[in-house]
Amino acid sequence: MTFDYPGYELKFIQKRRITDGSAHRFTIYYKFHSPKTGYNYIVTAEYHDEGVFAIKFYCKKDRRSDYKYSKIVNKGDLGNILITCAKVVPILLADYPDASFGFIGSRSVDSKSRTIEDYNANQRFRTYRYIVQEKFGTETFEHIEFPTISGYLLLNRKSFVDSDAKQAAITAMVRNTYVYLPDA
Amino acid sequence: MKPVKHSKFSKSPKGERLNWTPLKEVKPVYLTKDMTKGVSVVVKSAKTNLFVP
Repeated sequence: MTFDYPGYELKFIQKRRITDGSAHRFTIYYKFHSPKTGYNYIVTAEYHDEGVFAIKFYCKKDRRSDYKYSKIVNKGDLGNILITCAKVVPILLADYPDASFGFIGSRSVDSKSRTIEDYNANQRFRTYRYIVQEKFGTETFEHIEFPTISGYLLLNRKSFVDSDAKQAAITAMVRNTYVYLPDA
Repeated sequence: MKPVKHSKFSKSPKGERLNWTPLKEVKPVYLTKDMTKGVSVVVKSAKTNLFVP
């Protein structure tokens, strides 16, 4: 399996400040269109304390759904869609050169059978991990995975002296901010 | 009722999803220190078309 897809052009929508007093400081929104699926997609980069962006995306048609991150769109074009989402990293690095990037593979929901996937090393996590390891080297980032929660962190080498201490600070921030793993 | 066939690659019956839970039975998963323990990944080098080196 290769992921040599060109992807699509990401368009900046807006930067929105978060004032809820949490470690989540602001969110940057981008959008793109897939001519193959005919859908628009929203990519968000949520900036947190410790200089970590959480990257998320969903199909715009599902924006009002509680399961927008978990739905299986099933229209194909996976390679171009995921590569477009990955493009957000070099764009953000230009403005935030010390930033680290993380994601969690959402548990898939099957609306027909009303079932949800387990949260350990789920199918989205396994796919995203493969792409990240294909497209991001180890010069800029240290790669750290959290298979129990299907999470992955690209830890920017400019942001720490002691990797373990930085990891501990980031994971403590995540636990304090979110407390529970998102259901979907 | 048709018998459920096994695919050539899977030990489970075709179409059966392992470790999937009915949505109504899903409970919130508390993030513990153990769950957020990271594992450093050794990434093979010499990749081409890298987005970030």
